[in-house]
Amino acid sequence: MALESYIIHLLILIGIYIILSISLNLAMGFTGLLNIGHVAFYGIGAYTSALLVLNFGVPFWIGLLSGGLVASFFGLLLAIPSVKLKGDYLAIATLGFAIIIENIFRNWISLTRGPLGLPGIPKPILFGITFSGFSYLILVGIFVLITYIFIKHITNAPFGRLLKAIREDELVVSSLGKNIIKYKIHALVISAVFAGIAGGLYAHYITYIDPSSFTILESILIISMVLVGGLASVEGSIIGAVILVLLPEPLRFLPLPSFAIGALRQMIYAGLLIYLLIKRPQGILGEIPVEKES
Amino acid sequence: MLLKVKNLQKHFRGIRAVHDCNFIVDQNQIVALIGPNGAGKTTVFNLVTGLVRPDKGDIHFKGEPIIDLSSYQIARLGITRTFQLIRLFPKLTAMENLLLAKHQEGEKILSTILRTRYIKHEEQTNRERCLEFLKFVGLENKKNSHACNLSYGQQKLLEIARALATEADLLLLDEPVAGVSPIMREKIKELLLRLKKEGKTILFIEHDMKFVMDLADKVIVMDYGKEIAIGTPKQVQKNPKVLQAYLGKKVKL
Repeated sequence: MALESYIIHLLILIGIYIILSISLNLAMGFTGLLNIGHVAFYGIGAYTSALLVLNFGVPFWIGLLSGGLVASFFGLLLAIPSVKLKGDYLAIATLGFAIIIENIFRNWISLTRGPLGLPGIPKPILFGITFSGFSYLILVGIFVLITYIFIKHITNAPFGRLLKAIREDELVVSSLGKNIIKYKIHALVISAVFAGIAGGLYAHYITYIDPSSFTILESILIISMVLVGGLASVEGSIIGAVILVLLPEPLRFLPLPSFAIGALRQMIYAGLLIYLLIKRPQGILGEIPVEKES
Repeated sequence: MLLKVKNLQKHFRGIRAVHDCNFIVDQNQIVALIGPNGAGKTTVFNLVTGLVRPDKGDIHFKGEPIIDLSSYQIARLGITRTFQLIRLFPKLTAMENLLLAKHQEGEKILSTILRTRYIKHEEQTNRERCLEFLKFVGLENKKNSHACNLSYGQQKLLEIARALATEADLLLLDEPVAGVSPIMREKIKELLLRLKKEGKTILFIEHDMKFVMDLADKVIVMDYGKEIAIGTPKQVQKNPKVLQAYLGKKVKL
């Protein structure tokens, strides 16, 4: 029984990270917006949903969708001033955004209870069934499927082609008569919606959230998933999430103190990333690498 | 008169890239923009296409001022360009490169979600149209090749095809035959003449004088950011100012 629930737990986490990595890939892999602040949308979704359900007693579904909606609003807020920035500058702006949001979680005590976090977030109930364990896994699975189908659909459409073109050379895209700013904003906002929903799914699964779940390190983890799987590959993001969630798990069974396990985890991630950057820089399922002539 | 440039001025800090430049491009002509390196030719292209904003002056296209428009708005009015160093989308196929020149309903996010059937139909129509442009430049058998895998000459052709696919009236070509083989040069020459027959207007920058003299109806010579001579190729060749700009002043020994 314990093993079974452990596996279900891992699968649920994988599902949540798949939603996060696929949605980040839309901005980062397809559109070329290096968004280090993806975790902020995740956190906003988690806090929005948890607070609505805890304080106003709204049903889980409305909380979850509101989480996505509020995250998309913040996506818009971040996108409008920052998508004009290029490359590293955008990365720094989004990094700042993530730090601001994390600090709001930490310091707006009257709303978020700060570092104490929000305990007792109820699990969703539908038709008298409380979703936990296996049924929650099904729920997460449905959202993973929706995310996969949706992102796959829009990236295969002319819309996705346009996003890729913006990534390759935005100046040319605009000289072909397209408003690149508008499309970049769209990509970032859609990406934020799904991250927000992932946040809600996380909050109602773990039933306790605090600011430490939504730090920059979490963003780096999601970015690593996208890079390992391959930029602009939706399936790659799935593989990336699976690998990075499972990879450090065997460490749990080693007789090591917890601080050592944490450090080892980071070392494994770093090792994997360095190995991939040397051996297969485009990631597992990435696009063909283009050699830049100088 | 399709394009009119008046008193155009652009300084980059202390450098006068374009200084009081005036010229006119008439409908259905092939006009060459020549001049020594650093004369400001490419800057004029960047100003006309809205990639760079001028400090002063006016640009009119089809009688409308375009000076305050963004580059994408200018492109929609019917001006398109190619670049001195080829700028394709390297990881996309030749066909995809061309399709991006089209304005599709399918590029809008809401339509992507709600009008899937219409979008498929639209995409099909555009593919057929783009295939015509690929045939026009002779690249139809490369339609599924990634742009980065094409040869230099083919990339030049693909870039011209992409410009054509926008269906723009005015094509700005920045050095269309720089670095291409003599055979490819003839091919591009023939291509531009065919475009003229189809009613397009072409303004191009080129250093290959034979190409310019064979092709151009009108030549604009620039030096130090200003036009110094405008006329037919023959007139310009004899203009003393032009000779001086290219060859320098006579010195007594």
